[in-house]
Amino acid sequence: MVLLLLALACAKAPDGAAADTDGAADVPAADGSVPLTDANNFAYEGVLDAPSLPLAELTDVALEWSGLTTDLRCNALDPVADIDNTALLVFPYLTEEEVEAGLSDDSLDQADLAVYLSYLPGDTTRLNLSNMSFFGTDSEIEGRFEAGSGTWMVLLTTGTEIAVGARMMAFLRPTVGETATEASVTDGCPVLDFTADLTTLAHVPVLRDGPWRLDWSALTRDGHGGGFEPTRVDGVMVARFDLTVQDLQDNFLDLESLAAETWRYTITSGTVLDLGAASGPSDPFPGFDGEGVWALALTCGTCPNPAPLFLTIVDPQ
Amino acid sequence: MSTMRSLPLLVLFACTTTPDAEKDADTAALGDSGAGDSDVDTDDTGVLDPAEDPFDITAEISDYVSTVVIVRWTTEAPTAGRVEFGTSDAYGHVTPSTEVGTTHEVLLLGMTADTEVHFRVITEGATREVPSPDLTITTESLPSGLFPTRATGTAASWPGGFQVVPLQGTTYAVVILDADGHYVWYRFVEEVGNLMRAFMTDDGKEVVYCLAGPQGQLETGKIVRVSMDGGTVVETPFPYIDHDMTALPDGTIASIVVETRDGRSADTIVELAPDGTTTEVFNAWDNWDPDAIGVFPGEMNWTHGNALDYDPVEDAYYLSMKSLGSLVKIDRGTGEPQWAINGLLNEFEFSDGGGGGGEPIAMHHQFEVLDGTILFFENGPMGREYSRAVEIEYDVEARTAHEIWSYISDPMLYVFAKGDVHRFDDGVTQVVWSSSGQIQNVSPEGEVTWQLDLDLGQAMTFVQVIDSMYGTR
Repeated sequence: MVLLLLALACAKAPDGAAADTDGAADVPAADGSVPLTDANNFAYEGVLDAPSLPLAELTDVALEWSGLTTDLRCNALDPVADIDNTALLVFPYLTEEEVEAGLSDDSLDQADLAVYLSYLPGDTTRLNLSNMSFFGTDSEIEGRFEAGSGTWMVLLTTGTEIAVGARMMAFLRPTVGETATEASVTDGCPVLDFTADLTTLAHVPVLRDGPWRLDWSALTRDGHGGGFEPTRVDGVMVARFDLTVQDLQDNFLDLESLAAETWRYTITSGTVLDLGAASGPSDPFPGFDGEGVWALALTCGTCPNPAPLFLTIVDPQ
Repeated sequence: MSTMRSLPLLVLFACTTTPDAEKDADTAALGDSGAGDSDVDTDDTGVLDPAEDPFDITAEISDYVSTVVIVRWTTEAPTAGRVEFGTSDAYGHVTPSTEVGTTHEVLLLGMTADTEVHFRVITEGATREVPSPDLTITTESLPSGLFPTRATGTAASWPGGFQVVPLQGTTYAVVILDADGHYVWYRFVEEVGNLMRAFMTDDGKEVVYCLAGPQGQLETGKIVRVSMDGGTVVETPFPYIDHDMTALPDGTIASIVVETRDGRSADTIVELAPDGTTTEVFNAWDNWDPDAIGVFPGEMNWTHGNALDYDPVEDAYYLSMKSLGSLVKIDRGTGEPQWAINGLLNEFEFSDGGGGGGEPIAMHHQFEVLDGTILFFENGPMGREYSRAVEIEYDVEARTAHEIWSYISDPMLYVFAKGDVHRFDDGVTQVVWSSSGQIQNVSPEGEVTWQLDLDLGQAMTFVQVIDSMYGTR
């Protein structure tokens, strides 16, 4: 790795890359370098509108999700097989709207959160919040679930990482005078509304047969409008679609399921990937030799927002 | 063991832009150029002794920690040596001196990722010191998963500004952060478990962390030692270790270890000596009857030890126990409790009306025994909605105590798991709001002088403040 970095430090600007002033090139570099810039990146804005369920305060509450068959991205969901973890989050100083906005743009700090409790449901689709705990710390739900005590949110997730892999969310609203003690979480669609722009970005020219040395060191913004942080990138995805770019934009949340072919590679560090030599979990990349629209994404598997950090359209030449 | 690679200095020179480093890397050139550029007293006569000049200098980045630089050199005659380093040729950092010999290796620690590091080797000969020219190497990128932290304010309270931080949540790792919140060292923890305490050893050679087994599997607990280059990892199974451990001056590690009897559990203190032997020095079961002291009958973990410290002057342990609400001083030699303050075991009269009846300090976690006072991190009951740092003054002879200082964050933070405190020499208190992913340095007047925040999904447990990346001795 040392030698590679030193070599990069010494490298001249790639020959044959006709870069414009934004850093986006029109033709692929002869040496296979593929610089990725802000001009190549998509723009995404997600808006969450989770259900808010009024419930009796200062009592234990049952959570039930047997009827949950679509997730917040409107994908089909098995309420048993796909829900690995249930989490209860309490934001003492944020409104429901502020929590939704913060989750949408990844702007929440851990300090915004007062309580995180979880429960692994196994094969069940029902639990009492009093069953939840965090490394042995009990919920004390009966004494805390009180009107005015902040924003209470449940997350149903695939996987068990904190605030990651959300399939459905709902706010539990302790309400004076309310008698309901069961929160039933049902259809998740359409909790998440979004706009995505894939049509105005600068396409990335690449050599059809390689080499392809992807370099995202110049990125400064992610697709959600936040600052780009290289250590958030833990994967690269290349996908081919038998669709138009407009189709992809209109069906952005379903990109993965719409792809005709998909290749995924793991990023452990750095901002450079030789796509021809990339490893796991997909097979070696065979080249951009199919028809259709090609997309390239930098992904973050541990970010609360599952949308890619970077996504662009690739023009094989 | 680490597999080290040798990076020819010639390669290093070829890529650097500093004039000094463009010179050829042979031994004579190093000695000559170093004399002219150095502020080190190299030679009164202008004649250098080749026997003491450093040569065959190599530098490489650790395979395991991208911010750690390994520098090696040899000398013809036995010498000691050190390396000055930093982000410019003004350096500012220095390694400890090597042992006298002809082959030498040091680690440049405390640097951030993707940073050009300037360094020079200084041989410490019998009559004078000889520096190499200024050399450079660039540290590598951080691995994916180490998300940025946000540090604000000035960390003026401790010289080094480093702290060892176990991260839990989205990322499980032991990291060392500098005062700007940058990662300067890390080790990912892949094993399933509860990452509690991590510390750098006094000699600065290792970071040690304890990993309690996950709930229901405490028998899988372990203590892990990691060399600073990340290449040597030694795991010691330590069944039923939980919450905390502390180091003794001789290298012994004392830990809280859970012992279960008849379905209920309580804590012991078990020492792991440098030779690998273990000794139980304290057992709660031998000292208290949970029913007799009024433990809630349904409390299965009736002590719930959650913080441990050692006093080398008194040769005593301090053990905090959440279920009892008490802090107990324990004689290391006899294993006998000497006194207990607060909670069910309280022996002190709180002049402000608290004590065993009022429990002014509820569900505390980490603490620091100071000169006549004790600083607590007090989680508080969930319904109270805030945690705090609180300091009490106490008199062991008179068995009296009273609160003299406390700090509540604005806005209030409630820490439902862990929590830590530390008092700096200048009176500033570091408060670790563990489950809130925030650290604050707070003046005696309650002013926040420095703060570090983590992203949603990322928390920390107990924090060790360190003045130097090279230990304290």
